[in-house]
Amino acid sequence: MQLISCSNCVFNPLQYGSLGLTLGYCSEFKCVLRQADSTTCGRLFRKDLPLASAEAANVNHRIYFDSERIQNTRTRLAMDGLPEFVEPDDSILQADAVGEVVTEYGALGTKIESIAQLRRIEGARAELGMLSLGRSYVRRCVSRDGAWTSGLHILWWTRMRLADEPSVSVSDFRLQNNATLDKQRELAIWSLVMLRLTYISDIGVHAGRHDKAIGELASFVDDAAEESSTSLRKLMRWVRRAGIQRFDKALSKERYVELAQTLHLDR
Amino acid sequence: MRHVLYLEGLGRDTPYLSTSESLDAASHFAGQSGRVWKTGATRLSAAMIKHWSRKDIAQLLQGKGKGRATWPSAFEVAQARRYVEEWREHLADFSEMTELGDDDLRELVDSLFERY
Repeated sequence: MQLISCSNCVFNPLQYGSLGLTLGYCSEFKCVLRQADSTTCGRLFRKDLPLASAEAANVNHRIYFDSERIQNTRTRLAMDGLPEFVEPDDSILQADAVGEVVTEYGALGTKIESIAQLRRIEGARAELGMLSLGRSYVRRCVSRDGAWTSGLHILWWTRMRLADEPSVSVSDFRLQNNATLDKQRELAIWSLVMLRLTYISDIGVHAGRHDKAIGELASFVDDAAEESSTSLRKLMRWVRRAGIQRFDKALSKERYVELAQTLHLDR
Repeated sequence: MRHVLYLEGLGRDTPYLSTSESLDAASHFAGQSGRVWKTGATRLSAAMIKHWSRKDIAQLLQGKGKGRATWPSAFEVAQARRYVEEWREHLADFSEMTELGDDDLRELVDSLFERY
């Protein structure tokens, strides 16, 4: 996988690292990405980085790539109209449960509805889609003067599965990397757990100025990494022993319900 | 950290050159239009280029990083370590080659690699 490519972008909810389908999907340009490791655009927002670094990387990326067209990562040539790279017809993805939802992202009236559908689908790929689109959804809401609470439900759904190790099956892999199979699987699960924690940290950053308690979550992913490095066992131990306790201190169920009711009042 | 995470993007200004002990990894990154080149640790050392093995790098990429890998974000350090593990990465370190001009540097790099 290439870090500076559509395969590592939050707008592509179908792929992350070695996880995902062989085909990607761009929720911005609404097209199938047939070679997501070889394409990018100026909107790239990296899945693998925390919010501030992903923002900084995007500013740098926009110097070289156009936000309005998909380009080749190396030649920078426009890839629109080249079906071996970018395919507007997404019907092939409709046969996949996760693919069907992401290709309808935003077409159901509200985007959060699509994300809620992903939450109800079992498996690592659905969770990857939920977290990936969740990051892009909240970032965009906040950038348009919306509130961090646009991501409140996704935050709570993420909390509800924090203690559970994601289940990754052999069909969830889109490519082989060069670690042993056990290590590849462990690192794939690790990266998905870290994506959960990155989402939580994103919300902490977005909420920081408005809600001090939630703002405490901004360093969540860094604190987890400091304790665990790339060990999945240590990471899950930190999450179960310290992370959940810390999350609940920042956002109790009662507080979540209270904030959720406020969302309904806003409507 | 900047190098392994591509923080300044493709073609970033860096004294490091990424290599892999895995032919599959090299082929993956070469893609359809690229080419695989090979070198060796002894060859690098003979040219006074520091070789950072995968294990060397992994030792630096712990917590908030150690030595030259010291970094403010432990998460980013862990991500870098993941990539090093997944792609069996080694680094050729040209940071001591500060007196070489672009042409000399190109010649040196060319002399260190051969087509696989």
